[in-house]
Amino acid sequence: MQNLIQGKMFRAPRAWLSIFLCVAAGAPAFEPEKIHGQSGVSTEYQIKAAFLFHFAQFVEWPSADSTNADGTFVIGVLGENPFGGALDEIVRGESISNRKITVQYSRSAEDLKNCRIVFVSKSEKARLPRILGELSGKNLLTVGECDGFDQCGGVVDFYLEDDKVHFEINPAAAAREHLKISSQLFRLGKIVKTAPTG
Amino acid sequence: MPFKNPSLKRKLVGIIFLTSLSVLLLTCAMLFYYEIHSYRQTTARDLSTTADIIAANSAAILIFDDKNLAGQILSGLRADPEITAAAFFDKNGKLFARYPADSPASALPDSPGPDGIRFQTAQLTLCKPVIQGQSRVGTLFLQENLNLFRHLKVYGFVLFLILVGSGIVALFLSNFFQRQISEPLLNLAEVAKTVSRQKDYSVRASKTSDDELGNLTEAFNSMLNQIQTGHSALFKSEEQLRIVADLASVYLCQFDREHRYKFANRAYAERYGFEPPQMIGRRISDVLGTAAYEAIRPYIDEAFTGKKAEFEVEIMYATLGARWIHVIFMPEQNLEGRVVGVVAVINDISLRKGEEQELKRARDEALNASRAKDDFLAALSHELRTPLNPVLLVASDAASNPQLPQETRADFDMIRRNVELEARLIDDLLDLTRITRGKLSLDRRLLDVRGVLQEAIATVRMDAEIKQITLASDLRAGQHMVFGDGVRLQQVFWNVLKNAVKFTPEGGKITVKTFEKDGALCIEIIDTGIGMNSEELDRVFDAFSQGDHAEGGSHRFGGLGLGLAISRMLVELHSGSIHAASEGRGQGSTFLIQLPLAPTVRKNGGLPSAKNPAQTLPSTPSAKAGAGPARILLVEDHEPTRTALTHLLVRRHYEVATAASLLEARALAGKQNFDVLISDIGLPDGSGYDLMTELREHHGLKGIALTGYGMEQDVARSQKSGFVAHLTKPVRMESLDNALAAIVDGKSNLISLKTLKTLKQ
Repeated sequence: MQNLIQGKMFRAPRAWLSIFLCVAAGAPAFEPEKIHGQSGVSTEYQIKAAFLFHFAQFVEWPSADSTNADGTFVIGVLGENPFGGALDEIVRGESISNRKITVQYSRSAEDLKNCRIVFVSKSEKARLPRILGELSGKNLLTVGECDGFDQCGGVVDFYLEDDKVHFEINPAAAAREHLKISSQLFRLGKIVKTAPTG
Repeated sequence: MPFKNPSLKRKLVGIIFLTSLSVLLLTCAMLFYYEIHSYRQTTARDLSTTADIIAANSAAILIFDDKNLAGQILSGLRADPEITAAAFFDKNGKLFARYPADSPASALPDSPGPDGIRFQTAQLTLCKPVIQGQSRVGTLFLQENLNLFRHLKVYGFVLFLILVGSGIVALFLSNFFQRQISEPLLNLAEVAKTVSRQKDYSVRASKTSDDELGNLTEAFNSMLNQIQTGHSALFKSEEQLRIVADLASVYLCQFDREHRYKFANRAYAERYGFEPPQMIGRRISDVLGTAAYEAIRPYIDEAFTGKKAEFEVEIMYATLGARWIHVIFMPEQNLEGRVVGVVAVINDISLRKGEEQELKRARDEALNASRAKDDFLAALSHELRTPLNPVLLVASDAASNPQLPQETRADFDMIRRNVELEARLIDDLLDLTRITRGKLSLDRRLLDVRGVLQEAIATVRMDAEIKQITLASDLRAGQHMVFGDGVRLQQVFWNVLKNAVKFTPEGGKITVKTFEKDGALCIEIIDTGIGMNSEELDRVFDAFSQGDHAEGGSHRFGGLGLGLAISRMLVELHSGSIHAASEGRGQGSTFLIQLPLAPTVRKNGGLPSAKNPAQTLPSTPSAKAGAGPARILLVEDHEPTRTALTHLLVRRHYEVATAASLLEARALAGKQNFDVLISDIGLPDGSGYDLMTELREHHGLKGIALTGYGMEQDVARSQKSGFVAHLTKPVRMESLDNALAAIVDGKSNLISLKTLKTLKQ
């Protein structure tokens, strides 16, 4: 009768939950209201600045060159700075894996080779393929905001829908750059299928 | 408890069953508690796991603010119906997403509580922080129904089934195992019941095990053994007792407080025509009859008070008639001491009583015959003496009358002596008869033998002087006090002395000696007489044997030879002895009388025998009186005696009036005054005793009895009725003179009747 007192047999297992959570996916419908209306910069860029900072939390870089020369985690902004001081404000005092986050603004892709995340501003739309070509193979998470950014080999691309900021992820580009993107991020963004641009 | 008086079996089953059930219940309760605990723990752990999984995958949702996705994730909880509510709160504690999506906001807390699991009455809530890197990005809230009742309902049902099943098994097992204990006990109880019901002590309980119950069985059997032994011994002894009681010739019975028989032996039962068992329960009064029952009733009541009653009674049985019985009633007490019955032992003594009465009658007849004989002897003695009386009076007077010539006086003296001898013979015969028949009683008192001896010597002195025999006395004993009858001892001495005088020739000598020897007073009387040969010595104290003293004939000395025989008897009555000794014929004789000395010596005791009235010679008392002659009333029906006495008294100058009957005497006493009454006892119209009593009371007369009745009781009666002197006929004139002199001289108080009595000689 001892076995009769085991409570387990009356319980239903909950293995289903993790399975459900892994496969669950849906159309992203982000509503970044809370970030709107900050210090002269458009709500859109305030959200995008926050997203940039948060991407760092859900991506793993290859360990060999994960460190900059001064030991900081650098987010680069290439081209015109649309964030104003919003990005600096967000990362101030923040760190990733015990590394301080800094922001570097530049017009030259060459300057931003030591960054981990590089935001390519709309202003650089014309020379996207060249820029992405220069940045390719540098294990950089490239984030853009122009149509076709994915097609040019960018990893993450912001787009607007219903006045909300959404993003697309190109897994092939991420894999090329040896970046591991968290599944959580995959669940939030749209997956883009592209032919590898080599 | 549910059982108060059920059988041992049921008790044992109950005990085992209840014990098992209690243990089961306790176990179930513990299992129940453990299950509740375990259920809560498991539920909490599962919920926690769920929360962990969701939280781990929700950081990005909260960070990137995707409410849609948050709702989708939460809606996945639908798969678990127990989770009733869930929600995400952002890092500011604001509700971010909820589940179910359409639930009202009131179903959820406004803000997340502290982290961790909280058990509430019917639910479990959990708040789990959602962490991204180092920072908290929000909180996951889960709420699950703790459906303890539904869960435990199943569990309880299972437990109930187990309980019922176990109970049945326990009942079955207890029923099986209790036999181990109950069966030997019930077996014992059954045997005990058999023993007590059928009184069969031969059954035994069978031993089934070697434990305490086995020991109990053994002890029980051994107890039965002892009871059986004791019982059979008791039965045997009861049987023996019954046989003995039935065979006993006495009547035995036992009855209770209601006087009903509890037991009766065969003899008793058959006496009343029953068999012994039929007696039990019958009433005594029904068996014996009312009259007999009432006769013994007081004794029964006495026995019931606890006292043994023993009595002889003649009772009238309804069936048997009058019977004498000897009865013993013995109370029978119980342990508390209460008398619960009486045991009766009865003997029919009718036969013995009859014999006793027969014996009594025979004795009475014999006594009557003896009394008649005594009366005859007394009458004979009286009748024989009476004619001698006037002869002796006249002859003794004439013999000592100095006015008569010597030869005439000698002739009268011869007549006197022979009359005296005649009287003596009559007395001796009477004495002998009385002593032989044990009728003689001594009047013993402390006594000086010297006085008695001197008196005896004095009585023979005259005879001795006539034969010119010398009488010497040598009374040298240190003391002479004995405890004896003076009159009878004087008779003894007188007999011996008389004998000595008789057998001693003229000019001989008689010596009287006294001495002490071995605490006895010895009186020796030695004569120089004819003596005795050895053959005569042997027979000297036998009655009617007088020695053939002379070839010339045995009657030379006269007498019947009774004196010595009487003397020996009298001495022996005094615890003394008398012996005769002689050297042979012609050598004289010696008589030795031994009397035990009185242990206490009272010198100079005022004893009544010291007087020697014989020394007081006859005088003319009337001359002395000075106040004229004494007046005598003489009452005598024997005419010759009356005439002779009157003649002699008148000659002595007394004034004499005579009467022949009480009537005449009373008439005279009424007319004249008298000083002295001289009266016969046997008178035609009454007794002299009555006369004496009468005259003493009315006229103050002193009297002298003059009678043929000479026995002790006559003397005593004489004294009682007031006579101061008792003279037995025939009377010598000297004796009467002395008695008269004593009365007239006023010395009557000092005169012993018995002493006076001796004066008849």
